[in-house]
Amino acid sequence: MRTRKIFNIYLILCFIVLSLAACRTGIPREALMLSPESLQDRQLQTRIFETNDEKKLLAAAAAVLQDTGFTIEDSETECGLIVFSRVRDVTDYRDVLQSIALMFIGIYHPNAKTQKVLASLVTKPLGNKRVAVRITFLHIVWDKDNVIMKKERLNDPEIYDAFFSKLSKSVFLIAHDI
Amino acid sequence: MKKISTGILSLIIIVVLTACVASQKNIFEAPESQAALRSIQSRVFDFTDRNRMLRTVIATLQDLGFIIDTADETLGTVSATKLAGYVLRMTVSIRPKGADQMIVRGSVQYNLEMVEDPEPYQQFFLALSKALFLETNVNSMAATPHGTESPAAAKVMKDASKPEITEPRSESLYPKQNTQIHPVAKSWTGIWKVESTSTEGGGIWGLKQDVYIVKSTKASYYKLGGKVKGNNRLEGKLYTKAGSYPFVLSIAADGQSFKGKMYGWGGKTSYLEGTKKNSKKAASPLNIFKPWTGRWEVTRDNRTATWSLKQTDKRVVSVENSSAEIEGLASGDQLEGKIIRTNHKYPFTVRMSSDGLSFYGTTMDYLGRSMQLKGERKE
Repeated sequence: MRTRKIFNIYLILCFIVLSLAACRTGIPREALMLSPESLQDRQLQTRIFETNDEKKLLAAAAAVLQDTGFTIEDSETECGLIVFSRVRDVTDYRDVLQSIALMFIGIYHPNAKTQKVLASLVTKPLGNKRVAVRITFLHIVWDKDNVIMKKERLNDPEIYDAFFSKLSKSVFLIAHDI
Repeated sequence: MKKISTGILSLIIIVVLTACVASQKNIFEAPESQAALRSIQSRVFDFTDRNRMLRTVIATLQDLGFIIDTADETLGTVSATKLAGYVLRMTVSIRPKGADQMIVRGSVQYNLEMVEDPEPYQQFFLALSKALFLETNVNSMAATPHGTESPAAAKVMKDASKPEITEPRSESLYPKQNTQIHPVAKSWTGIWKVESTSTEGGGIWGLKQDVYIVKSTKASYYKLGGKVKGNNRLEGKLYTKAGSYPFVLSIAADGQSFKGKMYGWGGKTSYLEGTKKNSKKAASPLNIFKPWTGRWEVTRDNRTATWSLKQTDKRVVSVENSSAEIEGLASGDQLEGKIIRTNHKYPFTVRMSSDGLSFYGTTMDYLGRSMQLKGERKE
């Protein structure tokens, strides 16, 4: 009888906790606010090219991303948009060893297995033979149990510099029909 | 005892299940009132270029940290995702409203739920209207950072004999203005002699324009207030002791006259015609070849400074008694330059009003945020 009562209370508590968790809402206040960093982000992600031909620039960008193993998910040239993605295995043996070592002392440490990088590239004519190219990368990382470990925007300037340096080369090749 | 606890348990289960009824809603059933939600999610803009609107929406979403998932020019839709520990999905659609307006509607999904709180939508539309303002007035704020271009790539480009597409610029660019008509370019500021077909509205109107807001000055016979809509329209009200009368005016291309109508007493329409009286200041011979030379009272972020500028050909520099160090280049009625502080140079772009007595434009603060810059000629 007593165990039954405890079980009932336990069940009730479970229900309350579950229902509260299920009905939890709330968008962060700053989610749709322009952050002070937004201009720095824009500068990081944008370069200006001197050309009149927006479509050619888009083609050059598509070629660069294809070269680096991305596939095109969607495109709308009228708005100057191409969306790319790339899925790859990011298993790092050091990471695996670390998680095995930690497992021995009873700590579960998941290691990253799959990474999906999404990129959206937008061109914007500025007039005076200038077109701005803005690219944004974000990535989602899963562990070996397909649990999402990370989902965030990539802010490393090196990634953006590397892309734009490749793009300026590609633009040069296309401009000269090489 | 057993009966009581079973009763309590079932009661709690029922309460819990009804509390979570939202999760069992039909997918087509709109939460809250459909009309209320639609009004929260929609805004009307005085803008007609569909493609530019779509591109501005895309740029705004990018500024807010989204990546664009898909866009469709024909449908006028953009979808985007933001990942920052949470998942935010936003779909924006645009459609024309009448001949000279557009409705922008955005819907936001936070994790798995539709956002019904008006505040995030207000923030989005605030960001969008800022971007649209810049889009129509300052064409590009996209500046390239210093020295981030890889030297190897830059070299490849420099060796080429003027390729069709050249290297990305690595120097910081000033915000460029396009040739679109600026609200200040057709300034409502001034003394107007107004004729009316009725007893109301005729006489002297003294107006002062502050970006989009137009107010009456002391010189005015009437108390007036209004907003500039589009390139040449002023919508406002004339206040008398008997009541307030709405009016709509449109300014002529030369900015020297306007025509319009007013819904006067008893709902009767009276027609208004105004001509600009040249004020004493404007009547003084302005040097049209060196319009920037002179002393200016400049307001930026509620702080006022006095700029003493000297123009030689296109070059404009500050002279000794200026409270800020300025250097810039004038072209047409606009001036692009830098405000020089000890450690920083703040780029600015301003455009002079048609009467040469004021200018208006944008600059950046030390965080790179865009801010307004206004100047009035002192002498």
